[in-house]
Amino acid sequence: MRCSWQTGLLAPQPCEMPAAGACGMCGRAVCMAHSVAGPNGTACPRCASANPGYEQNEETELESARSKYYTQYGGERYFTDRDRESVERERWEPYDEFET
Amino acid sequence: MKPTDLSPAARAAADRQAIRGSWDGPALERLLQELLAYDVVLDARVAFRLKVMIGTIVAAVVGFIAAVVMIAEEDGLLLLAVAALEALLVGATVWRWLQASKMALPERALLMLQQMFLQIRQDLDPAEQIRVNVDLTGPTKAKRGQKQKLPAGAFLAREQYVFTDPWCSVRFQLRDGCRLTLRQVDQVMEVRRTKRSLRGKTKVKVRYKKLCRLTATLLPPAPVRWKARPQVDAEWERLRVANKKGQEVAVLERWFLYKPHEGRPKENPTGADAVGLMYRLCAMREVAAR
Repeated sequence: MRCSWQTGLLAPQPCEMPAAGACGMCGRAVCMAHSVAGPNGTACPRCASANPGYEQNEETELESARSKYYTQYGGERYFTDRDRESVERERWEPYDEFET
Repeated sequence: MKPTDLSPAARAAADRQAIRGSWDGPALERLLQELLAYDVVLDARVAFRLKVMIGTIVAAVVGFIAAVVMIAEEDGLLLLAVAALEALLVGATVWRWLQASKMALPERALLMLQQMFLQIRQDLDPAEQIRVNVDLTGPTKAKRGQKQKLPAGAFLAREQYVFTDPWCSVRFQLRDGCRLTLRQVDQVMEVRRTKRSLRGKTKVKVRYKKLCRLTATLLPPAPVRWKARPQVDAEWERLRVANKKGQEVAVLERWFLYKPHEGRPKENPTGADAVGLMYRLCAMREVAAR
C-alpha cells in the first residue's frame, strides 16, 4: 500500500512512498514522513492540524494554510472605507512591467 | 556575523543590494537566510554608529567650550586647531553612520521571499531554476517621480512625490509544468504639507503612504479551460485572463496599503500573502491538471 497524502501546496501530488500505517482518525494510509504522533495515536497531517495535542510540523502547517489561504481574502474586508477613499489608483503613474 | 563570513554569492548580493540570475531552490533559500542574518548585524551596526556619532558630537561641543575657557586668551591658533580636529572627528562619525545606513537591507522584503520559498519548496520543479530579479535598494531618489502640487486646503502648500519601485520579479516552474511569475511594485507617496504655526513659524510636515501591488501570473504548459474563479476581494483584487504570446495566462493582482504614523513605511506583504495569492490562482486550473 502507498501513502495517499498529497504533498505540496500549489501543485499537489501524491506522496506514493510505501505506507507505514493508517491515520487513527480518518483511516488514510500514510508513510513515516507524513504520520504525526499524538494522543490518539498516529494521524495524517490533516487530522493532526485539526486536532489539538498533535505536534506541528511543516506538513501540518501547510495543511492548515490550504484552507486559510483560500478563505481569508474573499469573506473579510481588510481595509476601511477611509482607506479606500484615500487611494485613487488612476492618478498614479503607470509602471513598466519588467521581465526577468 | 561579519561581511567576511558571508558566502561569495551572499556577499555579492549584499554589496549590490540586489539578487539576480537563475538559482536552484535550496541555494536561493540559503542565500535569503544569510542575507537576513546579515541584515540583523547591519541594523546593530547602524544603531552602534548612531550612538558613537551622538557621543562624538556631545564630546566635541563640551571639548570646544572647555578649550575656549582654557586656552582662548593664550593661543588663538591652538583653539582653531582643536576646533578643526573636532569637526574632522564629527564628520568622520557622521560619514560612517551614513555609510552603514545605506548598506542596510529591507528586512521585511527578504522575509517575504524567504517565507514564500519555504512554503512552496515542494511544488518547485527541481530540474528548473528560479529566475530572480530583486532590487533591495528601496525607494531611492532615482526612483522618485516629478513633484506634483496638490490642492493646499487648510495648508500653505501641499506637494507630493511618488516613488515607483518595481523591486521584485520572480519566475519559477511548478512540478506539473505550469510557470508562475510573482511581481511586486511599490509606490511610496511622500506628501509635504507646509503650514504656519500659531507663533508665525513655517513648518513642513511629511507623511508617507505605501501601496504595494503584488501580481501573480500563471502560465500553463498547454492551453487549458479555466475552472471557476477563485474568491476575489472586489475592492482590492483584480483577476483577469490575458493573452501572452498567443497563450492564455491567468493574472491575479492585489493591492496592499500601509500608512505609518511616523517616518517612512517599512511594512511589506508577508510570504503568506504571496503564497495565498498564488494558491488561489492555481485553483483556477482544471482539477485534472492540478
